[in-house]
Amino acid sequence: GSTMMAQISAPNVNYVQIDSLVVMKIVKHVDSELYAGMSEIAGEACQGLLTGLVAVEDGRLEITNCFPTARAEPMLEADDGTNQANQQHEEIKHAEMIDMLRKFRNMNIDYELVGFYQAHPFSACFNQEMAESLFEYQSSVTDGVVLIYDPVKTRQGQLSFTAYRLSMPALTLFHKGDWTPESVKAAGITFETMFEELPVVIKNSHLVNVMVAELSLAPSLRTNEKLGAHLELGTKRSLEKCVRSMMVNIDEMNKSIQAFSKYQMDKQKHDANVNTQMQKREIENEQRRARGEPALSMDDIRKMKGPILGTRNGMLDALLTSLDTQSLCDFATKVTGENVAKLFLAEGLAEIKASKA
Amino acid sequence: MSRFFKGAVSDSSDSDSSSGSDNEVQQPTARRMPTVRDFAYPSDREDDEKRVVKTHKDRRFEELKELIKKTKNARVIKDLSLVLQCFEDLQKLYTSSKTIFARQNITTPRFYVRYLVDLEDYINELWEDKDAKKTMSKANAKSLSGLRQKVRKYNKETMEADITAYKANPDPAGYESPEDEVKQGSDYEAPSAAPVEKEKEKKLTKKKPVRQLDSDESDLDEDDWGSDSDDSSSSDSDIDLENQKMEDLRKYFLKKEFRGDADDKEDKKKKRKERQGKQKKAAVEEEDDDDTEWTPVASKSEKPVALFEPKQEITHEVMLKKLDEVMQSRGKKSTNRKDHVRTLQELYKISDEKNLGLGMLAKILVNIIGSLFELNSKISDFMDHTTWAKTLSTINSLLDLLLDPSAEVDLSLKFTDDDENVENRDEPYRVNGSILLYVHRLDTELTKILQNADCHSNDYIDKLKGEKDMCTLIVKTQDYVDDRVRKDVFTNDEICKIYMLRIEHLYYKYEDTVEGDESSGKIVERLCKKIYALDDEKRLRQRAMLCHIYHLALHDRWHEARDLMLMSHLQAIVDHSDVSTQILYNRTICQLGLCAFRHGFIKEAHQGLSEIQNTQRSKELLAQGMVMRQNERTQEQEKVERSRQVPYHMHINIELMECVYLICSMLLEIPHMASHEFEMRRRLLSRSFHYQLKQSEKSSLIGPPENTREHVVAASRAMLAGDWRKCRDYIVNEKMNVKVWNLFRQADGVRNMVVRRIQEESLRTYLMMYSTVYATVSLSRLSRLFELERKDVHAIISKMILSEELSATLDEPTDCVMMHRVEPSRLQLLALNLADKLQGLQENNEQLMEPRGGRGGYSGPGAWNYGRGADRGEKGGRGQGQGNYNRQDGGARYGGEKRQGGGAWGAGGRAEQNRRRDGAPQKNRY
Repeated sequence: GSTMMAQISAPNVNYVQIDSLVVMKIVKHVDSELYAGMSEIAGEACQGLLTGLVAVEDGRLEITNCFPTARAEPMLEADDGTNQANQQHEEIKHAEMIDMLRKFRNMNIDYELVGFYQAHPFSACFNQEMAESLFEYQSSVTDGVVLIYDPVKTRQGQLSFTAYRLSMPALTLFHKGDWTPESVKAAGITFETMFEELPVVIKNSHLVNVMVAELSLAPSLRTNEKLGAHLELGTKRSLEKCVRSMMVNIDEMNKSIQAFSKYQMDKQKHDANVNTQMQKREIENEQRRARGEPALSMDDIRKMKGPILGTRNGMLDALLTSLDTQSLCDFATKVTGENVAKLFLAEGLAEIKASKA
Repeated sequence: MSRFFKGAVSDSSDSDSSSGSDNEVQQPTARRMPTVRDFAYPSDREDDEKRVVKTHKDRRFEELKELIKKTKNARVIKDLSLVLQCFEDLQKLYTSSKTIFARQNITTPRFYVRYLVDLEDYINELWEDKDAKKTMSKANAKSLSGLRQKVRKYNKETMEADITAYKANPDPAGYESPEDEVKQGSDYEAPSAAPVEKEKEKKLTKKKPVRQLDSDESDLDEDDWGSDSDDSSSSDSDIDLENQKMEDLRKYFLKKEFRGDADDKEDKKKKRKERQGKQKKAAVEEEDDDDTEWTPVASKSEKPVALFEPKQEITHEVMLKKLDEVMQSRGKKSTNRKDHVRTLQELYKISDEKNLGLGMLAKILVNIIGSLFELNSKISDFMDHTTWAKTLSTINSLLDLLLDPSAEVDLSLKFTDDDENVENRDEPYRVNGSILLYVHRLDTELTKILQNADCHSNDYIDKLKGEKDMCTLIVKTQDYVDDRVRKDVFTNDEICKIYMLRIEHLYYKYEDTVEGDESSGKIVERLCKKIYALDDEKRLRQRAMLCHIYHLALHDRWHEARDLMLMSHLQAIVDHSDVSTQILYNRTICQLGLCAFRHGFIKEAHQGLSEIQNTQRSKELLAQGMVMRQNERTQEQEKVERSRQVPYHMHINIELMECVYLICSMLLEIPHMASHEFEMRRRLLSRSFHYQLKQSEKSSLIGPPENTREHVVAASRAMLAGDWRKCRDYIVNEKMNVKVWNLFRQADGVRNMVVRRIQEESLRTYLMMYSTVYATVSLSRLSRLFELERKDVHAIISKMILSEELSATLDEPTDCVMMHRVEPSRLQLLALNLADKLQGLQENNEQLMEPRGGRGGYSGPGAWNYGRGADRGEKGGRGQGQGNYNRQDGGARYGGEKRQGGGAWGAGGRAEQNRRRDGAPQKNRY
């Protein structure tokens, strides 16, 4: 019991502060891999580890450095050795991580692991793997978070970082590994409360601040010619992609819902069954009591097995898919909203230009 | 005096005062004592040998008597139920022994009649005696009434003649044939045996110990018969009868030795046969000398005479009797079927020689045909081809006989044996039998022969020649039937059947030139119409219709065939018909499809062929070969399936069919694929085509095509790329000529049609695939590109614009097609699909909220689906505006239905086609 409590203790931080160094490192890592098309080949999100420190008094998690983890070698799915190879790979990965952390310590950089980062287009990061790793981190590092970087949005000119952590009830559920509809309901988890998003603050060094100020004052960047770039819509392909993944998600959700409604029906039947049995037993017991015999227990009826939701991970999949879809939707709404605004802006500008001419 | 006459005399000697001997004859003997053999020929017996030999008949007699004795005892103790039981047993026993008596020419034994009369008297007495009845036990009373009824009925119905005869000359009351009463009952059977021959009997027993071995058990009449001939001829007769070589003969005897007396029944039959043979020999014998032992004296040609005695006058009666006798042995294990047939044939010859009239001849022929069919014991076995030919000729001669204008012979199953008339020349002859049945049976036998022949050998061709003879026979039969249509000899059903038979031999044959007076098409049509009019059951009508359609389709009369098919509503009813009709239906559909293809009706051809081709079981559905499958069938099923197989010469070329189907699919599917490129849910017109296409996509290296299938797939790829020349080269080349095109009758025409279609469809595909690339295209360029006439290009494009496949306008002055950009962008299409999916999700969700309520939940403001109707309307509008949204939706649903298909014998597919046909006119309205 005590270990469990130690593992799942309430987090101390309420916001995340990341160094600009971390931002730059992540962007560089992800973009280089993205340009190389590696994520498409390996089919795995590019990810890395975050180091930093926890400022308990301020309720702040400072992420001061990061390093990418090695990708899994694209392995040939062939012989029975696959599993072994995977294991080996995991070991190597772990060794590399320890090695890197040791080097950090040697160089007097923060070497405390505080979480990991992943790159996901449209910030649609919610899948089982991610949730499980996050649970692992959070159970070893109380204030662990995941930092999600959206390369698509960044490329469109808006740097996008979001920090998530699992909420307390979700953590307990993960610990139990019990995602039946009942327990999810009891824990009060919905897709909205499963994760907590933490505000992200990017902290620049003073030197950088000075440079930024300098840059913003520089006349070369303020010319009207460059303005057009910001008005470009340029979102057609990403939107397509977004809608496509949304469709995939909705198919998944449809499946979940069907499974759930089947479960619901079975459950109702089961409950009714248990109810009638209990009543029968009750009547019988009364008769027995009248005859002075000991009453029969109801345990066997209560122990009757209820139906099982016909999905792999209980409600977890449905929750994650919902979350994923939500991020996609957020992206789509935001982009379309902005696009409309851009259209208006462009119209206005065109009018100004026309009137000038 | 022939034994036949003897029998007849004893039958009619009811009031003969000097019937002492007759009576004696009728008196059965329980055991035979050689000593009292007074007027028989004592010298011919091995006198000193005390044999306790019982004939079959004697045994029966003994059994009967035993029962009678039992009855008597029961009567004494007044156990009426026992009396009843005995009576019933007796009755049974008597009926079963009747045949034996009849064979040995014994009339109803007198003691039996006496028993019956006594019993009836006794019962009546009891019945009258009211007092006794009252004191009777319940069971007894019950038995009495039952007994009374039964005895009365029995006496009245079956034994009346005998009883009246008996009553006219009754035995004294209480008279009983004493146990040791010795009669010559058995001897009366052989009065024909001439005393001259008696000593030969002795010779037989001496010379042939083998025979004697088993004749220990044999009855005396065997000896009597044996006495007709000497031993040599008896052995000859064996040789003749069995038509075996000496070796076989030896075995024959050996076998007998081994069998010994264990199997006396078997022996008896043998003996009976011998007896026949010996009797035959009787005639021959006079010329032949006895000393030619072991050499066949009588050749086959002499045998006919031997069937009867030399001087016997062969009358109808004699002949009938003989025939009856011969037919008795029919179907028995020991009877050599071939000999049986031969004997019958001899009888036929005799009747012919003696001029016994056509009726008799017909009757014998009927029997011969029956026996020929019976040469094979199992119905699943197929006939020997030579036997088949023989049967054919026999039936032919029967038919000739029936058609003979000199006398009228009616052959019908309606006649019972009593109705038959084979003697009276004044009336039309009546014979029990059915020529139609024989013809039918012969036809099935031919089918069986062909099914079991190796279809690639010359042997098959030889056997197939029989088909022509069969056809002539059928025509002849049909003429015969037609002649008699008005006489009400045949039922409608029979008439239909013979017509159907004719049709079934006609419908699959292609007639190149009209020869003779009537073309096969006309014949088929005429006969089919008759069947439509006459047939009461649906089955023949259906079959006739299918054959008719098939024949029309085969002769390229597409519209007639299609109209007939559609009018008949066969698609709807064929599911309920038998398997062979379903096979015929499948064949017809395929033929119809091929016909449509020849006419260039690609869509219809595709429809017709897809039913069979889409199932992957075309061979099985057309009954053109057994398919080995995982789920093993039982032998029985396999046998049944084997018997359904269509003979090879009627096969439809499956490879050709598949190729045609794939080409049709290509011509339909490729433009379709091009126009629905971006749709998420593709509607597949033909699954097997897609399967082939996908298979080739999967392979990493695409080599040059080898079989027809690969050719078509390669052509499809070329078409999808808009390269019609390549496509044409894949479809029309040397290899394909040999495998496909040369098999068509107007090969060039079909080839040109296909090339033309390829050009058109390639053009359509090209326009749909690359419309986004062009702003304008000049018509002349397109016509140059696809080598089509400018006006054809114009027509095709106009049609596409009209059917909203292509959003473009034709600009006359510049002679260009101007493309419009109205098709939804990819994003828009995706969004539409997403909306579609979301709607499904929402509905599912609602179901979750209200699992029972279904659709009608709360619909006021604030409800989840509030204003959905409005939404829908909007969506509908949008759908129309953007063309293919709704249609695609419909298509998907359609695809869903499609997947349900594939029932047994294409049942599901057929239903589906039914729908499709229903839907077709609607589609055309677009």
